Amino acid sequence: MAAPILEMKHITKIFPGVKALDGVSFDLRAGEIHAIVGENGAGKSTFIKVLTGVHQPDGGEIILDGKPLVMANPNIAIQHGIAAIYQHAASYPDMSVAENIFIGHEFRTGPFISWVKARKEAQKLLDSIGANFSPNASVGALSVAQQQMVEIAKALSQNARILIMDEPTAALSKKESEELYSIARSLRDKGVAIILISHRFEDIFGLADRCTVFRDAHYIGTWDIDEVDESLLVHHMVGHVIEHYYPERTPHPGDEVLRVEKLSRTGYFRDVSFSLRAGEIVGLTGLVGAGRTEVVEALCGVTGFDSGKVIVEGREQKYKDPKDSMAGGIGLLPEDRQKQGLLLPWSISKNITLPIIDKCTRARLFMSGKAEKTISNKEKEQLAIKAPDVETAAGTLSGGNQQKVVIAKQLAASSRIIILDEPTKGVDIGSKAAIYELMAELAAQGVAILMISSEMPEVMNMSDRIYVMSEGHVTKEFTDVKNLTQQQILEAAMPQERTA
Amino acid sequence: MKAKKALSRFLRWETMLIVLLVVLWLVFDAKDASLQAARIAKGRRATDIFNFTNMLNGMGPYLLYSFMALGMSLILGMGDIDISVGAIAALSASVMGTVYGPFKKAMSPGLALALALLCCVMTGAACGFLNGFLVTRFRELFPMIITLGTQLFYRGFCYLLLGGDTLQYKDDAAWAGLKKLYSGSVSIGGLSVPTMLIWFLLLALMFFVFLHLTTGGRRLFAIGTNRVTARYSGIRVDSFELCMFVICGVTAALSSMFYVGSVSATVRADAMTGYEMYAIAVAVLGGFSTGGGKGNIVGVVLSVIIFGVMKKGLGTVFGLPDSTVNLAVGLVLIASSVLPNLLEDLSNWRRVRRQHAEAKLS
Repeated sequence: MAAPILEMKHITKIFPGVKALDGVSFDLRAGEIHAIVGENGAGKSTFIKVLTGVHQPDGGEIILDGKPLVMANPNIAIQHGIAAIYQHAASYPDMSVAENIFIGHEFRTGPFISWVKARKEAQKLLDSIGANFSPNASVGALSVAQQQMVEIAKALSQNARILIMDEPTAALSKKESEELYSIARSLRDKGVAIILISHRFEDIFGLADRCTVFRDAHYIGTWDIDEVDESLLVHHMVGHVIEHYYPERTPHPGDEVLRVEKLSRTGYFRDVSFSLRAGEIVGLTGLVGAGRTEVVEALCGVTGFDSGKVIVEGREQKYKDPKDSMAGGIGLLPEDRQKQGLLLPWSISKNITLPIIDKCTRARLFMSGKAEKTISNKEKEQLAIKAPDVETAAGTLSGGNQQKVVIAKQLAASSRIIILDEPTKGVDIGSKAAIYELMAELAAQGVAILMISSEMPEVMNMSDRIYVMSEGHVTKEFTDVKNLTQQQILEAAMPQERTA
Repeated sequence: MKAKKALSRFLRWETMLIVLLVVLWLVFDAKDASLQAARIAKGRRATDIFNFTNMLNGMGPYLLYSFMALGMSLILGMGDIDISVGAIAALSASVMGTVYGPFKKAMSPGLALALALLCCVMTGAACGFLNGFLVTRFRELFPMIITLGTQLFYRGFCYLLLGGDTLQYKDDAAWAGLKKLYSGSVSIGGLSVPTMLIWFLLLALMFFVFLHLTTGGRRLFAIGTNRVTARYSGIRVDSFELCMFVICGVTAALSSMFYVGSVSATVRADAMTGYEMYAIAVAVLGGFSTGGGKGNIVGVVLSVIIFGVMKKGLGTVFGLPDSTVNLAVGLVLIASSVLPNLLEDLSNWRRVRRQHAEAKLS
């Protein structure tokens, strides 16, 4: 067994009000892919920031090649060959690939930058990882997968020996993920040590050699990947066994409450038709960028549509503003809860009552703190939102509890149709189960639920029916969900020319 | 818990402003007293220049932009900015002056003036509407740039109406009544209080109720905190924002009426140049930031008084020239915008240190 090139011993990091890391240890060997897993808030991101010199640890030491090292700033990390590739590649979209790769350490002839050499070197790097785009291409025009390759090339151009990949496949299709896997494997075989941060078990079991689990800022353990399986990992991550992950339910679909006919918006989606019944959970899936979010935003009046019909409870509607669709009984849980769903500095109470402030008034004009408190306390209890009280700022809650607050907003507005856009994205496992439970409960009460999701197990286990979108079209409707395979959904989700 | 609540109330911005006001007052009063003592020592008659009555009666010039500052608070609370209010005020006054002449020929002077004042308010509203329309229609442009454009446009319009001339209605009793609007006072409990101050406080009370007690205020701060979330939460962001710009324009028009009174009922195209900066400064010192989502009208009222006291105190008691007074006011403004951040850094630093101590103990 090779000696570790990197050891992190008893790292502690304290932020105001929270211990983000509490005596966490970790070791990394050359030529291995080492996954770090844990729920949101377990301390993975902070750990990476300590390793890359963004944050200074309050305790513990970093030992690189057997020597202690003070990682005082990100430059020291780069000098020692530690590079991170983030989920949202921090590149300059208007610059060329070569410029992006060599920014900050350009080749020079005298005072001038030698772009000829930069392009040549960039080409070499791109070839070495099997990327087939030109170093002259503008980065903004590349796909997310290609932008990640640029980031990898950039890391290699700085002679990275330790490469950190933070949720690298979150925005990639299956095929793109496979390509990324093969790049990661070939780097590993060349002796690069890779730290992989991922929520996806496919990534962890398909790629990693070892796996370390963090939970609540603590180090839980490190295992060879063949020593563990999915349920054992979940057990370590959550700290207890989760039974009934997906709730048992028998759907009783009622009347049709929402019908969308041949909805089109130029440049986004075309001829999209689907329907939704009361008490039904319908999944709308597809790859990222298939146009799912755009369709629901159009029908709820966030954007609008060019042609087609939206029929809500028997009446044709063309909502001009989310306010109108809310008045029509449709609640939309937007994709990005932090930017679209919540006012982070505001209290839970003020967030929950925002859509219904007109109801929390005296004389229809003056705010009534009492009414707000009553309503939000009721919702907090019903959804089991974990917080000291309803005056707690929404921004201080965990991802799962933040999502519950956004759902509470729709419930307080007594929506009859609820559209959930990626309801469990970035939500820890415990809260996920709670959200599924809640969806089942709502459906049993007769609420119609449309769930947009990219997570296959979630779509297949929660939905009564599934629509699949690809490139702005609904390509398939599955009614017999029980006998469905993941492969069937993926085939429908793939863009046409690739499957052909 | 109770002590903590009391402490956080003490650290509120408005409390800070009151402390600042008291400190300024005490400093100016002490200096004033020492000046008087010096005069008496030289055998001259003591003249008390800095006292409550003098301050109250001398508030006039500092109240001119206070109306605008209220409107500006709404705009800043939404995270926008409007730097055209000075020009809106000038245009409103220009329109008022221009229409008064023809109106007077057609009807009684009193009615003509009332109609002219109405036109003044309508002009302010129309200008605010244009600002609001442009800001909400062209989201990709900064409100700062849009209102810079409309500022130049409105100011240019003033010159189109008036040219370089000073408009004046000599020996016109009704028109001269505008002067009273500025300099009039009523006696309350033996104290003569400027009517303009009463108008301002009434308007400030209305704004306070709107911003802090009604659903409208909640919507406004929601927009300022996060426009996208506000829209997803069922707020008609665009039309609401447009309305606020209209109100801001109206407050500029109100300011202009008093301004015309303050300069012997004359109207010039270059009137009230730079007043938008005072309005912004007052609102910012009052606790509204350009980031949006926070602020309190009480702070704005206090900040209007602080500005007045500072200008008066530095100018008359310390005898500083106006340019130096501006320098001092600028310093206070910079300090006031930096202070909240410094305080937060300090409290974070102390929390981390406390946690370290706890970590060592365990």
